[in-house]
Amino acid sequence: MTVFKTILKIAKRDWITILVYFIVFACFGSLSARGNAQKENETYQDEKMDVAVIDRSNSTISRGLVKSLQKTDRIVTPNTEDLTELNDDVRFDIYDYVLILPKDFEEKVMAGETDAAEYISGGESICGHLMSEKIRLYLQDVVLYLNSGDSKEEAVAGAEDAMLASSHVKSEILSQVKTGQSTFLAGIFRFSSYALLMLLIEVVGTILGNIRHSDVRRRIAVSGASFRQRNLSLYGAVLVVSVFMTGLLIAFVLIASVGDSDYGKIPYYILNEIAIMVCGIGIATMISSITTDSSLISMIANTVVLSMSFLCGVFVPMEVMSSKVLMVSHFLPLYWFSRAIQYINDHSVKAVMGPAFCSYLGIQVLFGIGFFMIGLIIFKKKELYAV
Amino acid sequence: MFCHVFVYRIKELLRNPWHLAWNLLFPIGLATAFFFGFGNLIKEDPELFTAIPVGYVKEADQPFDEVMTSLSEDKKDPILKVSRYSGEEQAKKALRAGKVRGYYIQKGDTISVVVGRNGITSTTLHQILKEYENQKKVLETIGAKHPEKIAAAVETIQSRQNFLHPHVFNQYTSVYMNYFFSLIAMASLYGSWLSTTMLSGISANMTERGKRYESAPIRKMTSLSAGLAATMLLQGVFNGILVLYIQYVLQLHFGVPLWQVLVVTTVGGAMGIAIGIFIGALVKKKGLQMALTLGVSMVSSFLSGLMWGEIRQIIESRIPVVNRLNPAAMLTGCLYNLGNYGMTKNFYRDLYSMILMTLGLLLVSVAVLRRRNYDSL
Repeated sequence: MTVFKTILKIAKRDWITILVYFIVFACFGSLSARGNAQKENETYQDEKMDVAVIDRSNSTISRGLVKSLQKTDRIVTPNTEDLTELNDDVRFDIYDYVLILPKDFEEKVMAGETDAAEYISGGESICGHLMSEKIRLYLQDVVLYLNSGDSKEEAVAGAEDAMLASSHVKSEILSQVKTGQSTFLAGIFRFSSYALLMLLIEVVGTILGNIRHSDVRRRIAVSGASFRQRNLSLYGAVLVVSVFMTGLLIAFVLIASVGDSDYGKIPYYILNEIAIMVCGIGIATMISSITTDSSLISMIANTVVLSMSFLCGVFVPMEVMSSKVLMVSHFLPLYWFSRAIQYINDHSVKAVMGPAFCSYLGIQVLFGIGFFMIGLIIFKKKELYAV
Repeated sequence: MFCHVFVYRIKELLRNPWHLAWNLLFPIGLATAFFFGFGNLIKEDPELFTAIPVGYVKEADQPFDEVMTSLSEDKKDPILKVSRYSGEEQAKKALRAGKVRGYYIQKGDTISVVVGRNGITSTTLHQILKEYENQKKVLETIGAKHPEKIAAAVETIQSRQNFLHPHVFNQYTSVYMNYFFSLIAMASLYGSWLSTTMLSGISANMTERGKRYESAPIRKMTSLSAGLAATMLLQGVFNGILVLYIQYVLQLHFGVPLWQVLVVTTVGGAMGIAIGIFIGALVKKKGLQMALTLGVSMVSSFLSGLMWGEIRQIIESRIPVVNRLNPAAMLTGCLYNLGNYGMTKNFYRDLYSMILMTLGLLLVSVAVLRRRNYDSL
């Protein structure tokens, strides 16, 4: 019991580390998960784009164009006309498209000029292509009506009618297609792996490092407690601390995601979190057997966890990563954690539990056991050779 | 005396393995992880529009067949890559297998599109259908009102007249380079650890060495300025090595001559050192110093886009004052603007802000440290 209590005291000393990583997780994890969350829909809906329009023309045709775009997209007037700032807004997804209608826009459209308006889109992106096509179609309709003898007002009204008539076309979603869209829960649990592994390695690594300090080790060795008792207290306390930190992160997610449509999947996300916790304890054991210096543990934790997070789809989606890197990622536990998250995200509540999901959990636990065993072997060897 | 202290400060800091590991090796390791994680996205534009694979199930002859052909056979920029299926089941199978992003199905007069999920690609497929219906409606209206103009209208439609042209910016680096700019900013802020260590070494209230130092007959300003110069030089060199590693080993380019990048990162390194001096001057507890330097580095780096690339621009469009005060965002912005637009007013704004912040923090720190005296008890 003395060893158990001592470990809890050591863990208590690390409260600032726990607080810092909890705040990082609570603020940045939920911020990035909310920012990247996508809603699953069973009925077809047009994707609305954020379009910034600078209308310097304020003419009948330009107003008609803006009115028409407002029916299908989110149109905003930007608070700046600085083109570089607007370009940055497009590149970093604040807007999907920026449309600049010059003063002589109407005259140029009527004259059939090809440079009537200017736009900024993210390179040769699909968003840019789609928006340009919508605008081109509207202006082409206006020109067709003008060329057939209609007035400006009639042409704009005609183009609007044509747009309205085409809006009845039917699209539907085929069920049972893997969508790959990430929800808030998937996003926040994915981010939690970074915070949890950092916490486990830093706190558990420091605890084990302190206990394995040669002087402390000798003092424990001469105590009356048996070998079994000592180890039970040691790893029991490590488990309690780990469960407390994991529980803290899970509790935050539970509160932050109340009312989420995927709330029923939480037990599976928690199972996955427990699997990565086991793995984290294993990594912490291994690192603490290499060094007992808390600064070195901290550095190794940062290097290992941040690198793994970037290589295993925690910060960057796996779909955009190269296949060669993903091949290497198979040998890292976080890859299987991310795969499990994606699996839960892609399947209905009833369909999650199955061989695939269990294998993802199993691989993480096996990684954990493997790291734990390596840690014990290194520690044993060091003890044997009195390193 | 300045040179003597300067040389020994450099030796002392270089012999500390933690500084080499945290300030040099860790950022290099992270840059390598970034490169393997999304280096391919920097070299190849992930948003580049490519023809959308789509299925087409035709059950009767319709002009829509011609639309499919024209959209897929455009040699310059094909919009669709059409696979034709004889029945809907085949098309469904292809959609479920991910071979196509959707399929058009034509039953008599009705054409509809079936997709796997909502999104921009599905909206594009839907838009093609809308465009087809739109043109039918326009031709019907013109045909009813002015039948003599119908041939000219068809010609106009076929010519696909363009009214828009893109605004072109001359200099361009990938948006994913922002992660590397942020990483350089983080490495620069890690310079604060060098300066807190340096300051502990000359503060009697922090270390035993500090006691010996303070009792030596040397002016405090001399030892402080020599220590500052040594840490700034060291951090500048560490940043330089990181920049060279990114440019020459990872083969990712900053978009401008390297000396310009090195000047900016050296200023960034100096800012990191100044932040460390400031924290060291105000905070006397070693543990709190560590927590503050780590906290400032990590929070600033996150807000500049180290883990979520878009966040700096989101802040810029909503609460720009945060970016004006965040040292990592200043350095990231400076490198981003330099690489994409050259030496514009935004570049100078961030560069001058960094210089001002460095000087301001140093001045306050010197004022605080100058007043720190120890009585002989």
